[in-house]
Amino acid sequence: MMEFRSEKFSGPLELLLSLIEREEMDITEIALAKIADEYIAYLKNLAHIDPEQVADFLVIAAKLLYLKSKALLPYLSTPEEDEEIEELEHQLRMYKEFLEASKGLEKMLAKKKFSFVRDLGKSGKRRQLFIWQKFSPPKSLTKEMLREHFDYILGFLAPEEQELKEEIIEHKISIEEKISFIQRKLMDKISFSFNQVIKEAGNKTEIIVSFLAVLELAKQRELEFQQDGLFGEIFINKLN
Amino acid sequence: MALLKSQIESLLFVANKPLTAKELADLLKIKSEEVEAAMQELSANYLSSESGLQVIKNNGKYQLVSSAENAAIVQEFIKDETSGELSRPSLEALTVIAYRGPIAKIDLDRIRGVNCSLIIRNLLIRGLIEEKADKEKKESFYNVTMDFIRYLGINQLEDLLDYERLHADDTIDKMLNRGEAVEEIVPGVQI
Repeated sequence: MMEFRSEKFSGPLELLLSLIEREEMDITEIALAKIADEYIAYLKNLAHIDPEQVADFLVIAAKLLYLKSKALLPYLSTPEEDEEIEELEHQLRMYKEFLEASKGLEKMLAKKKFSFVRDLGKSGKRRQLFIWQKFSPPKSLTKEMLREHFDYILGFLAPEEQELKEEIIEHKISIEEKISFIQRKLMDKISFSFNQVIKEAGNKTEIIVSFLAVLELAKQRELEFQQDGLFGEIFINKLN
Repeated sequence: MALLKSQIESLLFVANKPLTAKELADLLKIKSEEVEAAMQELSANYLSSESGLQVIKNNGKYQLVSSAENAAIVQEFIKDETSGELSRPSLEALTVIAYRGPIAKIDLDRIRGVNCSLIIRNLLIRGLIEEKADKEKKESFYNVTMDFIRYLGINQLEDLLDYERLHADDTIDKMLNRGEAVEEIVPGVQI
């Protein structure tokens, strides 16, 4: 384990892939949820992470955490987020293909089977076949040319006029509204499951608000919870 | 065809640099397609004749180069110290560009899951990839260079393992497009 943590990875996908392969698992949602902890443990233990890459690693970490929470609380998932996870699976499979291809390329390079050209410079001296990290501007470069190129690049950066999208603003429910909704529900029925409240919620925000409303009512001693086992149904019972 | 082949061969030998099919066609006063057909034969002749030369092709350009089989002895003669070593990330990025080029930076980033700006710069300086700006799309696209082909000792990109499949894989296209379409609207919370 320690050895593994000290290994260097060229990106989040490479790390993810090696975690999955070490467990001899296929690229699936389950495999990704399983290795979420290890992925995060790796990030925590990494002393020197390239600051430019931290964000890329964190994006994947967030997706893994979502997957894990989904495995624990399946009813809280939303279609959009599931699509993103599916995308991660695709991305990882695709990355695997290219990683394998790059190993093929590496083998070819190791053979050092270069092809050479009859390349003699003006001085009659042969220039090196491949230029390795040696860059110097051409002698014919002028100030005007630099300016021209800079203008050209700036042209790329010119902000595009963006049309504002029309959107219908969602109705937002307040915690007070939710409290009276649950109070009304308790008048009809002495006991019901929390799942029923979630079912009637339109989006994630509403689920959260519902949860807060129930907690508030419990605090005010209007209701109590009952749960038979870990992750079991939560029942809400009315108190007098 | 025999005459055409020999004429092209002479031109490539003297030119000493890559020539496009169009340049050759203009010189010989024939169509580009005829040049391409002749080049295919010429390239096959070299491969089957155990010649010390070979023709390489990239981005519609042709060049006459020494056979990859003789790399060691030629290298000794010209005292070239090219080692052929590339870092893992550079190699990965180069692979993606070779198989998927011309490719936009954003797609390269997405395939590797990490920002590739520095790597692209290094590969550009090394002359292994080239940049082409698309003015319409206001985006730059990357391709491998003739030097890359020579560096691997292949005749053309199609010689890479699994090239057809990885180059044309439309699930990759779909995935790249879908990435662009994902745009989230975060609902406001009012408690």
